[in-house]
Amino acid sequence: MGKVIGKILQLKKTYRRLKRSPGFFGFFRDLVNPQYEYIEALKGVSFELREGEILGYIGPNGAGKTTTIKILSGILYPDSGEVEILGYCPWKQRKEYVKNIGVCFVGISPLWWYIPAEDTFLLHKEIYGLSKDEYKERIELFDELLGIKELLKIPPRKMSAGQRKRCEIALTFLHKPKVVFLDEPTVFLDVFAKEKIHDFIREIVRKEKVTVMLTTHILGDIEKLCDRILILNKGEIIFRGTLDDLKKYLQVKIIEIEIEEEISLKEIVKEYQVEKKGSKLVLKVPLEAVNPVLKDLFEKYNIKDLNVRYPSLEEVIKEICG
Amino acid sequence: MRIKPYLFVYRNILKGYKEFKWDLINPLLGDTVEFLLLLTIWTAFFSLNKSFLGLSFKTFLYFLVFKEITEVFVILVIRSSGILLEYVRGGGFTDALLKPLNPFLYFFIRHSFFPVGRVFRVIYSLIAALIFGLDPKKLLFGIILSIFSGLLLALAFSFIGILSAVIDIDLHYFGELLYKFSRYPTHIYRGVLFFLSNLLVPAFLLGTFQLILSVIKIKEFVFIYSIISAILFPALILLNKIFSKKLLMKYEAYGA
Repeated sequence: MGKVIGKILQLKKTYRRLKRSPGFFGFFRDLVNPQYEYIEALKGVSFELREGEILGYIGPNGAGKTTTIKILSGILYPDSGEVEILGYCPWKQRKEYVKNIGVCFVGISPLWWYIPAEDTFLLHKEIYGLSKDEYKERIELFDELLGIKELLKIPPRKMSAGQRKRCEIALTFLHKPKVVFLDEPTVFLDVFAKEKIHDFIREIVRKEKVTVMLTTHILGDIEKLCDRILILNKGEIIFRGTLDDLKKYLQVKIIEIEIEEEISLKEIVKEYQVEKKGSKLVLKVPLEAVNPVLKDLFEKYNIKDLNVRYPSLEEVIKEICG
Repeated sequence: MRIKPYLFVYRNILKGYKEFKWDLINPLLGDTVEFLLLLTIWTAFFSLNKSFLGLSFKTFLYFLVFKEITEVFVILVIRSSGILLEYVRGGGFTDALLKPLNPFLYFFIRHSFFPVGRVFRVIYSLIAALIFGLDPKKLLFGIILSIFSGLLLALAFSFIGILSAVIDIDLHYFGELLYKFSRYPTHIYRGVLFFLSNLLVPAFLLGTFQLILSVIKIKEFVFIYSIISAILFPALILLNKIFSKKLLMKYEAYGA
């Protein structure tokens, strides 16, 4: 495990939203006597960032993931709590801090839309004060890992989503940041583009010991990349651990069976937690009960098909987040 | 403060004009057509050296140059504030905050794309003024006057602007149909602003009360100008279609 480079303590953020009254007179009522609702986006989030790790920050929509990333990248103030990353407080020492980090938000492209991508890369070279040799070396590395050299000549508006994302991610890593925040890095991408980005992130983390914190809904990203996982729900961290910890979290196995004879669900439900999916019956069985349950099933029914597995990541997260 | 990154932003903006060349060339072509039409109409009725009810051909040239300058001012104020609001609401400021630069300076330079285009038009019209021997002192005075008069008129009519802004923000309550009608005060406000600043600046500049009166009297000139504009707009669309069919889409894409 790498050394701790960032400490996030009791981070809280509440958004105030105007409750709009309906109708014509409602507008004037809101002007005179506005009513607000308060949404607690973060309710005291604490965790650490370690050097050279890939931290998965996952959770359902509205859990507070992007709010956390925005606070950690210095563009949003928390209501309370302490953050120290690389010795800086992001919102107090923004200018010095952002020299050392890279951020790639979904939907906010750092690339200039109408001019070749290379011009944005050159602009970033100037902004971060890279020498010609350093720049050249970085481009060679990104070309080797992401195949971007040809893309640099094309304006982003003429690129496919995957090509654009490759350029955006390369740009995020251009100035050798020590910490990188990636918001949904593979959303909307096909399997080939995803794989390329996974390989790139793994390789650059290995080579440069960058700390990567990524938020994602795509569980393939987590399975392929993350050393550690935090699950956020309604502004609170409800799980922290490794991928293996997460998979075993529920302490159950899933038995999927297809039975020849027509039987009513009620017959099985008495004994096991079961649901019907198409022609299959899906049983959720505690780990210690798997063998006796299988034996029981084989004795009672003519089984056409059988599959025993750990719950998928989706199923675990769904269960954890309720 | 390191200047080089900011200069590089300008380099990229100018490079972007390669993509938007027709956005730049068409208005310049439009200005040329406008000027040639004015020249043709004027020489058809009067000689170049003669004046008509206190207005000479040169007065009209001043008129066109100040129109550009006044518009650049209005566009800088109205459009820039609009762009700023749109970007801030849409999270566009995030990009500026994530760079180790002055975020405001970076943001304003990054989004000064269209005002730069207007500056090209001002330069173009100033060159035309130079060719036709307009007085530089009068021009400079006119620039200052046009900015101040634009500002004063904007302040004078700001109550209409505020009213329309209040209505604008309430699309939610007033509904789409009423919202569309509520845009009219804004158009009227801008129209009045353009009309008065265009009309009064050359009148004040050239100095006499008689001239102001004559400008007001000769509504025909305003009509001629309106006719020119009416011809010009379809002509520009035609030019767009001839030279670049994708231009309008590009414009829409940028606006989005």
